[in-house]
Amino acid sequence: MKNIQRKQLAFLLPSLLGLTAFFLVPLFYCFVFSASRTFGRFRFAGADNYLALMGSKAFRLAYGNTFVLMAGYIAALLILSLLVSYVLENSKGTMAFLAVMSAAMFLPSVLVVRFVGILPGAAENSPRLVFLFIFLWKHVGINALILRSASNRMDPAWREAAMIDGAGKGAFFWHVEFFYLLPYLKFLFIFDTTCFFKLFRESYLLYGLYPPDGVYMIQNFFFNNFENANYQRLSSGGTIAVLTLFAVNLLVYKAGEKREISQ
Amino acid sequence: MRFHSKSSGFARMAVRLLLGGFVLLPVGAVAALSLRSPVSLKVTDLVGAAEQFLSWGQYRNILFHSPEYWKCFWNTLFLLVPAMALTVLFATLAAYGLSCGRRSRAQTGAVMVYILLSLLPTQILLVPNFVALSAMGLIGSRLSVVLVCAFSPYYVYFMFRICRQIAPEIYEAARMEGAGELKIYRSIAMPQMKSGIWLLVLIGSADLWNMVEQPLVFIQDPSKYPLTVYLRDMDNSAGYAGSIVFSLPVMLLFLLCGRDTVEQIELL
Repeated sequence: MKNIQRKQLAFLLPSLLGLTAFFLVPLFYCFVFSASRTFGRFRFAGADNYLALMGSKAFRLAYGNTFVLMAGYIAALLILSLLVSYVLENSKGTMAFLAVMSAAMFLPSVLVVRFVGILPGAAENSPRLVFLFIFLWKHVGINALILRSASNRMDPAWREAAMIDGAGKGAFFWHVEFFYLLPYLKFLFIFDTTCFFKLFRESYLLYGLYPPDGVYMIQNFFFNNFENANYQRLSSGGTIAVLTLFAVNLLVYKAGEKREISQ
Repeated sequence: MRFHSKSSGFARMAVRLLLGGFVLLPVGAVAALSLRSPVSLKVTDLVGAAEQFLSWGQYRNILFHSPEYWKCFWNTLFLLVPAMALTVLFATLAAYGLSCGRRSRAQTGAVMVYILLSLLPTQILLVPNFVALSAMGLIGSRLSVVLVCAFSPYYVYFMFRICRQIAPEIYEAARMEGAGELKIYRSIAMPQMKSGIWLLVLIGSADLWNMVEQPLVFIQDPSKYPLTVYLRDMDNSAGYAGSIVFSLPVMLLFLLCGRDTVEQIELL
């Protein structure tokens, strides 16, 4: 048994080696040098890099925007997807329809950016709305598809029991279906977080390296400061962003855990 | 038993129409504009209008008069194909290692590491990736982008979610028959994951097709930049058609992947 387990772990090796070389070790390296005066040769600087970063207006703007927009956009996306999945029900043709809608996610950014370019003044006047539009456009199909198919797999006996007890469709949704869908919503939150950060591409295509203040996010901050080669400061910024991301996801993961239902 | 009533039938219809319109509008609008003539003509009669609004001019410009476009097109492919091939290899191997057999503590820990790392956006990883690549002397080569993409933790987690749906009894049975682990991976896990692998190829290709930030930072050579970077600067004489032509391969892949792949999305 031990032998087999060791053999199985051998399958992990190639991926794990690459992960260590390109991600784990350099991440740790950057974390260490976030407390150094220079990058490459360690000279202890305490929290200086962090303090300098907090004092930077660009970083504060980017950090605030990122997490405010992330919360707003993902909440809007999940609510819209839940609504679509709820209204469409387990009816004929729904899955095929949602599958076609989810194709939007696979279309290249240049296409939707071209479309935004057609709308006069949209990109200049309301960048936040434009980003919301792009984000919803790309992902509402696939989110609704995943939620709908999860609901379809729910034990039909629950619904029948609820109906016999006199619960309507809405009551059933709020008291049972929603909590059954919670684990799926959490997975979608992780999935949509990675999608949210990919908005950088649309941002770059629409505005280049300097988007308007309303949508200036840490992706832009990182990308632009890369040129200055102030890596130790970027590392401290990275540390702050990584910790915030982990904390947000931990909170989401823990939320409502006690009321989750599984079959 | 289902809750069907007349009013919910109307609501369903409305949602389908609204959502369908919302998703199709950008594609339709860009497709319509791609048929506009690249030069502005004076429209006086119907023939003139047809020449202005239904012309292959933009497509002609793209297909026959844009060597730059095609160079960047190949640049994208040169990055995408090796990156995707390596991703499939590493991700399926790792997914098998993470999900087969009795779940051990090492496996659970490794899954946790992959999940945490896949939460991190590309831009935050630029500095660590850059540090590693320059230590290996890979900055400036295409290999840099290929390797960073091929080891992306996101796809391993993704493949793990698919692989764990395979019933462990199948593995147990094969082991009883005396099959080695490599044999099980090749002859049982891989065929079982087939539609999942297609989904990985679809999602991964769509993502790499859009690649902007890694090539800009790691390759640093405009002659090797992918098409997305080039399309940004394209004007209206061919830009709409350029976007449509650029979208075709991904749409084709989506159609080729077909039903089984979409069913995998549903099971994620």
